[in-house]
Amino acid sequence: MSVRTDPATEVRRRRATPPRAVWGGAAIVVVLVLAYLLSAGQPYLATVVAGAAVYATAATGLDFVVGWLREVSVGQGAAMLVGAYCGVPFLEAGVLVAGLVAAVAGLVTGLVLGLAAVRVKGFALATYTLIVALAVELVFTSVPALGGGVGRPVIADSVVGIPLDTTTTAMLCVVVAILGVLLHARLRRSMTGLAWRGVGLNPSAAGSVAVSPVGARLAAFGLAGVYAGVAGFLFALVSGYLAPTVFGFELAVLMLAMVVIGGRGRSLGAVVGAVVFTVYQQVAPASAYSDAAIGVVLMVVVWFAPAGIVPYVGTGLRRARRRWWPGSPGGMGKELVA
Amino acid sequence: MATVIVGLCVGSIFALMACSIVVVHRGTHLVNFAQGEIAALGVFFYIQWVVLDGGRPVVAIVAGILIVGVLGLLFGIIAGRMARTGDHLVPLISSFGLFLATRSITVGVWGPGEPYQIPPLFGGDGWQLGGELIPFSYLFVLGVSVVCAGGLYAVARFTTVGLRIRALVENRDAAEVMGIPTARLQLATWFVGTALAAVATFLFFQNNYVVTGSIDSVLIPAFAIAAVGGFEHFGAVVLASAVYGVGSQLMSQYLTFAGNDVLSLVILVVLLFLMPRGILVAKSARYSS
Repeated sequence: MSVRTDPATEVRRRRATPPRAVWGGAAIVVVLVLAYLLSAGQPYLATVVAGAAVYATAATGLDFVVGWLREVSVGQGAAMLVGAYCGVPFLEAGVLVAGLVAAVAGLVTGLVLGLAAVRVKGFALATYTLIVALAVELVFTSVPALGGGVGRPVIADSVVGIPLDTTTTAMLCVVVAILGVLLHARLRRSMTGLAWRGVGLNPSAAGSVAVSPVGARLAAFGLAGVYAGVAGFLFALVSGYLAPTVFGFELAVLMLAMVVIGGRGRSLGAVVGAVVFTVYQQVAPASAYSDAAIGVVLMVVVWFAPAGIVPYVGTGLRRARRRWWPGSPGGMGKELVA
Repeated sequence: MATVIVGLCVGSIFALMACSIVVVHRGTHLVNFAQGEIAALGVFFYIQWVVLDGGRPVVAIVAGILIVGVLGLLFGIIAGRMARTGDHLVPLISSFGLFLATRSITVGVWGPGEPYQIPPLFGGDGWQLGGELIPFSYLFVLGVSVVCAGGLYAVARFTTVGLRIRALVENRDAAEVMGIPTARLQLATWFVGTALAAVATFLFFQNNYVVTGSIDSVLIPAFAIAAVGGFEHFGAVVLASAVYGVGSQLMSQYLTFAGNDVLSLVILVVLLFLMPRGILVAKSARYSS
């Protein structure tokens, strides 16, 4: 069954609906305003917003590996750890410089995590990332020069001349998360993104059309590392404290859960997963059992709704649009031709 | 010499845990990253029944191992159905979900960082060798590991069930055509593999405090060792475990405890990077699920 659009209807639709960029811009403005309203003058809520944004950034990066390459990495926590530890000492040179250093450190860690992806896949690769992540955590825990298991405080004064309080830190995290999602969305529609996703679906087929599976896998792991490095650095800024145990294996599994529950391979999937996780953390009573529900939900979602919850949200929005805005894309202007 | 023997004792625990991973993988081509957490449930069941409620140790151990085996079997049933979706990530990601759920429950019930101690099953001082004392508990660990590994080998080599499992490993379709109940055999490998992990966990905690999450210190090197063996080769797994155990014991004489752990893991990482498909494994071996 194919979908054919009547030309006259198509013209009417184009006139009636704003372009995608306008929708995206409006959504970004809404997110920024909402984040500001939530965090302005409310330190606790600002920390919650910042935490959600940091999770969204790291999880969006992980989606390059999980959603596009269709591999599992539990090394995202390690890349966050390295990014944070490398970026924080450069805070005296400015937050932007420190963030850049964190991104480079994350890139290197991501490449180290992805080195095995050149030769193995599946659970063998997941095992490799698990062991590398643990080794990184142990190194940072056991070497006193790096702060050891005790950790250290993190103090930042300002970013581009604006004093860093809880509100500005939260807004900085939200802006970084938005930039991360925009880059993900842009890459997704580009030839590069198509090539990476092709490697994830069928490396041999991708190789036959001159796409290098090795290069694509390494690049995806590296980019995931960049996101994690920056997210780790922001995490340190938000919490005001840096300790290796914070970025442990469980955080990496939670990142994986955010990507899967939100929706693998979609630009907004990890963001939705991060927001759902943050809201759950706030709503659920503080208990040692709280992660158990996330584990069970992860199992259920990956089995019964492997595309995550975003497609369901998308379907709901399309239905609403069909009902309230018939001329919009996917609305009533299309004829189904068998 | 005593250091080498203690190293072999420690290595035997890693070998048993790594063998449990290999058993499951050979039979099902799946890996359960929550295997250690499920296995630790057996020990916590023992602590609850024996240490806290004063029950009988032997019954508690047998029951703990059986319960863990059944839990592994249940996950095997679920993972088998998940594998039918055709997406290899589904059972893999689910095992991480199971890990998160199990870890959370054990922390909730038995507390985070709460140290428990299992009374040693084999008391006494130890064996004097060259002026150094090798505790009997270590020798007991080595003995049980050898018996388990020997039993596994004997079952695989000399029994009909073992023959059928080997046929399943070689070619599942051909085994099915010959009338071998492959689905039931796969469930059996889930049960045996997870129960074996429970035995390894009991042995590990003979000489260590039981703390929630501390099983990671066995499970993660065991996964690395299983990977070094290509998730297929028992011989390579046993060899790598022995080298890891003895090596880490020898290094512990010169390095701090944490430094020793780091170096051991770094060596495994380098080994995995150089030979990601494992040692002693043919290039045609299968690695992805």
